[in-house]
Amino acid sequence: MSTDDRDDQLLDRLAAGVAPADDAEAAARAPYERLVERLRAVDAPAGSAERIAARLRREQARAAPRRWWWLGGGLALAAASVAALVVLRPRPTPPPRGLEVAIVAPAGEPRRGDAAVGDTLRLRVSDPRAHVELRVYRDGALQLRCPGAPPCAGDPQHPRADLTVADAGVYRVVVLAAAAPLPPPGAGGLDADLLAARTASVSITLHEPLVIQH
Amino acid sequence: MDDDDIREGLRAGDLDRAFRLLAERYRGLVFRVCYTVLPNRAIAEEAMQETFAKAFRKRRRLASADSVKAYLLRIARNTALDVQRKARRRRDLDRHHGAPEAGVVTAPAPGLEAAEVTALLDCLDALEPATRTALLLHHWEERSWHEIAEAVKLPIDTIRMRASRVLRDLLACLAGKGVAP
Repeated sequence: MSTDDRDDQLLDRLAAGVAPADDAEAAARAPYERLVERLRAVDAPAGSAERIAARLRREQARAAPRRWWWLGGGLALAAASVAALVVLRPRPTPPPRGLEVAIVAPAGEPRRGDAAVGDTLRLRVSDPRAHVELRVYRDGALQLRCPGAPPCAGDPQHPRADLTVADAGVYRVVVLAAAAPLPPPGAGGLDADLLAARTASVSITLHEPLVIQH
Repeated sequence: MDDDDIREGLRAGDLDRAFRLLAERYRGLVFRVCYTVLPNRAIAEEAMQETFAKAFRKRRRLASADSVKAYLLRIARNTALDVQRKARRRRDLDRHHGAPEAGVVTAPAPGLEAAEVTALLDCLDALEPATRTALLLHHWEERSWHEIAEAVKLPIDTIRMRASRVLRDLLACLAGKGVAP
């Protein structure tokens, strides 16, 4: 086996999140892990704060004399909106979305900004297909699968859960739906499960990553 | 972090303070979002500045957004996609008229960054665009390979393999610039 082939295998195992098999593999991985750390540490280029500030000063200067135009435009828009309200009939209520995700702070109010440990993920699913699953993964590992034990609730087409977050990490909320039975989750985590679902032609709804902080 | 200090500044008309806090807190993230989409860091920085300028123009909506961060990053992604579309159109036009493609790219000012970061960004700039996007989506935005495959329109196994193996090219590139592994 050539050095490149060995490196390929090593990198594939690293990307798949597989632990090193022995000390030799751990040592061979070290430069790549340092590279990933460097990559993750990349920030905006030095001096960019000053350049943003200069750009904002120009924007502020440009905005000042235009305020009256905005006011005039706003009044015209308001008049047009009133006319439209009179003429147009109200539109029917849109159908409920397939997945609704809300973050609720411990005191019960909706969370604004980043979520934190102790918050609750309020998850609601609605899908008419025969097989529907709501899953939550943290850092790629399965945390919750509904229908199932509490906090899962609801019925087969409307699974729901109020999941209180105990650990920091990147949370992914996924809904799988199909007419045929769904592939069960495996040991490979989020990526492997999504690949299995895609192979089985299952409909996948993947919510934006939710970063939960300490 | 609820960004209440930024909201208060926006509502009270203390725009200098509000936007200074906004830039301090999120310029790194905004740059990453733009750089993930755009072909090099010079263009990404232009998009980053445009993002903050747009946020200034939309400051009322920013003040009342559910999440200041999410709203700002949405502006960043849309701005980067706009810049990308315009660059493509300009490139097509340049190609039609026989102009060199390199004319689109602005070289970054030298000496702005620590040597190591500069070297890393140089090496990233040189990667094949889909592979670089995949690598950055994976390591910067924690995207799944499923989402990345959809974003770059390549099979999952192909893009995962490319994005993991390109680390070897990056290490070699850094070594060539005198950065120790």
